[in-house]
Amino acid sequence: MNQGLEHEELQDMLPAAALEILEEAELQRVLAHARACAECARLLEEYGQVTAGLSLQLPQAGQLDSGRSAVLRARLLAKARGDRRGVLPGPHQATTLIYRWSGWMVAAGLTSVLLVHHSIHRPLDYGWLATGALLAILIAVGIYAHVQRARAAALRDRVAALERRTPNS
Amino acid sequence: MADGDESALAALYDGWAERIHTLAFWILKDPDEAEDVVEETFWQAWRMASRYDSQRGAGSTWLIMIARSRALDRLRARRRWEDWSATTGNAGMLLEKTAVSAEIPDAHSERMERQAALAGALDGLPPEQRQVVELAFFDGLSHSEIADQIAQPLGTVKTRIRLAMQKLRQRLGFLREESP
Repeated sequence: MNQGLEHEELQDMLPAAALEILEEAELQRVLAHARACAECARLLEEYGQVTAGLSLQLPQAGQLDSGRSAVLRARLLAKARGDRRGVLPGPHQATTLIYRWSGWMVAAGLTSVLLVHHSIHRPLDYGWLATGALLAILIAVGIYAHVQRARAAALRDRVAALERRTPNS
Repeated sequence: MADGDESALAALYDGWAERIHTLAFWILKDPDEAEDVVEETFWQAWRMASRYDSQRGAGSTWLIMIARSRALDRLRARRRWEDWSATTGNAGMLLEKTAVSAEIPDAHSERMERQAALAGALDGLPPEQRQVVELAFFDGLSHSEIADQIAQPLGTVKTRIRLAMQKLRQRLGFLREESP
């Protein structure tokens, strides 16, 4: 695409980027362009200020309980203290990391096994076909893992919300 | 805060927690979830403080954008959950969905509330532009989701949002944030 046209197209998407309503692929395109284009970077910042300005216009609602706020504040500061001391990631964080990459690890393992198998048994025949199929499998497993992660995150949020609402839990 | 100064985090919390909670509550309509957003926002600000570039904008804008992003993530996760519950047809989950829906005011009164909330900020925009900004701002709906909701072509929705935000940017003086 012509660079000038692409610049105009992406500039038109800046307001939506600031409102965070773009699809992920569109957003990444806009952000990549803004990193390289000073004018768009400035405009994106200004649209961000508009969005923040709208947020600041909202009248107070659902007041933050002072007692709970104090507990929350103390918890945050305690976490910050631990973080500043360079506390190593706990088992939960390590598990989360493994969990995050598990889909791709499985896909990579599967691909490796199939590649080795094909290189031994069919070194020349169907080479491109096998590569294409393996690539498709890799992408499909990656997408599947992404969807499952999103679903699990939604479930965790709901469980956490239910636990909070359940007395004596 | 980038130097690991906890008192800076405490000061930031004292100054902004209430506003962040208000923003999250308007988006999520759930005080418990709004509290979670407050915690996530300040924790993310603490962890990412070294990446904040003051040349690129006010700290308050940065903080609010984090908060809005966290609140919208939760709202979208909730929508995915509700969609999933509806498609699986699990009775227990549907009951939960009903319970969640019961906490939310009916659509008409909620719409009126939202219009009133942003009345001053969106004053002067044509009604059709106000409508798409409200849907994008409060619900984080994508262009195509807004187009479906208001039964308008996708291109029309994109144009309305762009024009509305351009007008609001031009009136930035009116919208400029105030420190608490």
